[in-house]
Amino acid sequence: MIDLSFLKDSKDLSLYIHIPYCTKKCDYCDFYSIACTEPNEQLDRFFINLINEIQYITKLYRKPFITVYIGGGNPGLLTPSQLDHLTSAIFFHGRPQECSIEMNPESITAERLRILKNRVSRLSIGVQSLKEENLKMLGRNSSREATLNGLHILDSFRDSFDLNIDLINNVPGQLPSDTLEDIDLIEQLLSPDHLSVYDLIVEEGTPLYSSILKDQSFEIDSNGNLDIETADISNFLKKYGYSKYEVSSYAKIGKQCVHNKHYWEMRPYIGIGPSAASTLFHPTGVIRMKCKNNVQSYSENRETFTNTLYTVEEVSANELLEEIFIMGIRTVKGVDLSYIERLFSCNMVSLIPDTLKRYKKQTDLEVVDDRFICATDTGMLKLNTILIDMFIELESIELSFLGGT
Amino acid sequence: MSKDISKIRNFCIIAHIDHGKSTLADRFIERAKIVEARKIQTQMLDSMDIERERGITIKSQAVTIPYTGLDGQVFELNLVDTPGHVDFSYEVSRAISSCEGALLLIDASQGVEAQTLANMYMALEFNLEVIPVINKIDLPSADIEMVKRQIDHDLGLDPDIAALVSAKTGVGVDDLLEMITEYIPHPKGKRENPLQALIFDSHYDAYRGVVIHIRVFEGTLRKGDEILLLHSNATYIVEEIGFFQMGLVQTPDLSAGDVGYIIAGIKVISDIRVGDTVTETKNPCKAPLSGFKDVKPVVYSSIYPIDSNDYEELQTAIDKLRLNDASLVYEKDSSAALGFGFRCGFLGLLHLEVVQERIEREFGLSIIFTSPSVQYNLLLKTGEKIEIDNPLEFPDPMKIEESEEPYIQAQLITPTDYMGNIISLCIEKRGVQVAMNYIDERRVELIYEMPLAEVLFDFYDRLKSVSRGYASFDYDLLGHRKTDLVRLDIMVNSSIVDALSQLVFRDNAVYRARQICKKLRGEIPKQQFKIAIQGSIGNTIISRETISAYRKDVTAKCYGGDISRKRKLLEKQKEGKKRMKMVGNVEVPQSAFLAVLKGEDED
Ligand SMILES: Nc1nc2c(ncn2[C@@H]2O[C@H](COP(=O)(O)OP(=O)(O)OP(=O)(O)O)[C@@H](O)[C@H]2O)c(=O)[nH]1
Ligand code: SF4
Ligand SMILES: [Mg+2]
Repeated sequence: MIDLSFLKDSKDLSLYIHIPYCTKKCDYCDFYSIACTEPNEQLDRFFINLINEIQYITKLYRKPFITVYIGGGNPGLLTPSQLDHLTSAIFFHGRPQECSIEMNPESITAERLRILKNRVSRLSIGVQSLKEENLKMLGRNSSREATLNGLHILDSFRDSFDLNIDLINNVPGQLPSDTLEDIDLIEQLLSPDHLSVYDLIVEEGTPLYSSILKDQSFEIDSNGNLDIETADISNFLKKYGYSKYEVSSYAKIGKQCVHNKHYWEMRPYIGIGPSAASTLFHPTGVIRMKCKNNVQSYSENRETFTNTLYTVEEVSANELLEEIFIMGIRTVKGVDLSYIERLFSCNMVSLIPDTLKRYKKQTDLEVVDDRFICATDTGMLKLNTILIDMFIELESIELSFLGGT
Repeated sequence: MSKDISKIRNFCIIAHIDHGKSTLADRFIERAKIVEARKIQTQMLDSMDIERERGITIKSQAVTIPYTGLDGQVFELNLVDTPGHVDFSYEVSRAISSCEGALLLIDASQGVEAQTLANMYMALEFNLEVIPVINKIDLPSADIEMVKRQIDHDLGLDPDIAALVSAKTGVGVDDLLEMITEYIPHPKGKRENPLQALIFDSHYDAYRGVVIHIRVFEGTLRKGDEILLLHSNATYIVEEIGFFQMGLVQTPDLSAGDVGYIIAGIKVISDIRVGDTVTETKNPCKAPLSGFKDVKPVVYSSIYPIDSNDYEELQTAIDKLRLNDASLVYEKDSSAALGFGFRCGFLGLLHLEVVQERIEREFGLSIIFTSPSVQYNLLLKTGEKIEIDNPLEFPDPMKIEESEEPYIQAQLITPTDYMGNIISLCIEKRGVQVAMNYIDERRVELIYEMPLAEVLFDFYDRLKSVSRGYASFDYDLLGHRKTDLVRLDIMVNSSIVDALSQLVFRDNAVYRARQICKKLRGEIPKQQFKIAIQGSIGNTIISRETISAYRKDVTAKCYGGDISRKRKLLEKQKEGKKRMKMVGNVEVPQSAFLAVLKGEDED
């Protein structure tokens, strides 16, 4: 069994729960999940071990988690009583600052929302698109009608939750106006607090990847992006009061997702469930723990956090620094250099003078208040290019942990 | 016990390719019983992997075998198996100068061919006793009478002494051995004279260092002697000497008439020059032996290490390879795009290919060759004549009065079914038909004159595909003829990619440029700005492709779960970027050069 006893001295830990079930696999999906019907005995067995592991962690940690995110898959496939059970287990030592749950629109029911209403603070609904052709192209497991139906049920619970809607942009064959029209309609219906508008990533190995390769009308670049003309989402969303705070995230005032911000700041988090990953700070370093992508063996597991189910890797100081940049540079606020200084006692600005100079000159990067390195609007379009140059420059530098966070 | 020089016979086996030299050598080795029965295999002397894979001899190989004559006399036979392919004729010429006699093999069904003649002339030039040997008499298609007539008419040798053998079945081999002792003179020279030995080859052994192959003409050499290499003026103490069997066999001394090897702890590879004379420091010979003619390369190309950090290793590899391949000519070269490398001259395309494979296999290096070029003669307006093979040395076209390129006479033999295809290919390659002969109802021989440069560029592959691999191709050099030569440059955002410049016939330039630009477009990733890829002759742009700027280079979604994967992905991209070469402001991946230079076709 993996030794997690150091968790008792950790603080500000976030929790991620992965529910690896969906009604049907979408064609673009690269998440670990398997298709299942409702109700489902397999899911029930999985749920037992999931609760065991949560209880194990809460016993060690003995504090409320700072934030919680229940994602998937589609956590909307959990029964109302499972939702009750799950949240009770998570809140054993008290409520987090924020608790989000993902749900696909067709799984929204009044029963589920009634249970969730006094427990989770934030709902994230995977709408993706309201255009039938785009849903088809994505091989999405929901239709426009079923989606609108779910959103209608949600309407009467609207005041009980902060609401996020996920949308996918850059779908092959879409018109630049498609996503804007979807936003208009959603705004009329529900006026959410938060929108996540992702450009589609075409991941190798997905059915969508094969069909695009075969079709040959679109080129897929090394990041899985398609070269499609799209509208200026960020500008469009301003009129509804959203501002962009990360590559694909937009929030109304005071409604940014605290949990995700923790990821982007590389704060500690523990992930439970098949495929979930954790970044944990122990007294002498950082580990990345990852649960295998195998719900079968997860469900059969009678013990918690076994070595057969989880892999553990040390994250070196240099690797952690790279990760802090990979994550932090995505946010409009930028990478917090004071955090880096606390971790490694180094002055970041002096470590990457060439990259900073080059990209400041191109007005892709800025240093704000001597404390944040952040990407400008143009810089946001080429984060990978910038990161790679940074990493090349960082190669000759050997960092070490100071200890503690 | 001192050897009797009158019992030594030094001879080489020469012939056109595939006439059975190595197979005949097998029979001699077998009869001498110097190889255990279970180790006997076919073409035993073809010991390199490439030789066995391709079924041809590339290196001359010496071997010493005992032979007891019919009258009970014991002879020492030093035989050298030589390659038949024209690209390796330098190997043959050096073998010849270490022998007193030659067996000239002629395939009983093929008769006299190009290299039969060429190699015979070489042997006669060195006053060797030439014994014509008609081989493969076991074949149903053998036509001994025809071959005898050819020996008489075409070779001017006495057909009555021609030996009739089958190297395959062994028929006639015993008689041939008798003939060798009878017809081939024993070496001259005295073991008491000052040492005079010719370095005719050498090789590098990973454990023992440099091994020199010598033929002793005068004197005696013993372990512990201090030798002097006349050309390089270097001295070494002999650590070991011996002769060649299926490996190196130590012996206490080598004396006049012998063929063998020296190991002398040689550190400086450049001290060893094939053709140099070895003598003894304390009692040196008066004059060096005449050595070998310089090789005249036919095809040129530059070799670069794929990883430019491997340059020094490449230098060592080429130096060591050169020990064993005296026909390889090279000098230092450098390219803005590919770093440091070597400009090399080869005796032909097969030779180029063999060098490439040997560097990769024997030294484990990854290398890239620039487009092969021939040597052009230029007459400048000033009246000066220059020879160039390297596009980077091409003068300002305004200064050129006239240019010439080498032509070949190509011989193609094909089943009649593919004749039409092959004729079209030859016309496309600027070929002019000289003759067309029906060999029988189903096969035809086509003779074309065409520029050698055309053969260097995708000719073999095309020939193979239009004839389904049934056509054979061979050529002889004809000399230089007038041409219209230009330098084609490839530019990426207006910067010339020097490694891709080529000298081409003017009418081929547009096609060639388009092909390269298209290939590069597929290989260079999108960047922050638009990239123009152009082919040009001087200031004239003759082809163009563009790569649009990327809209974005960012991952839309990234949460805690993906972070390790994302970091590893970026690290991989980082390694790729480090291997990129900057051409102006554009990052060009190494793979782009490889794709263009290897000329892989997409469709
Ligand atoms: N039938 C028959 N085949 C023979 C005879 N001698 C050689 N061969 C075949 O001819 C082919 C060429 O033989 P090699 O001994 O490799 O010819 P080579 O002259 O050494 O060829 P290179 O070294 O490439 O110039 C092989 O397939 C042999 O088996 C023979 O006497 N009879
Ligand atoms: S709903 Fe989400 S997790 Fe499930 S298959 Fe579709 S994209 Fe994947
Ligand atoms: Mg041979």
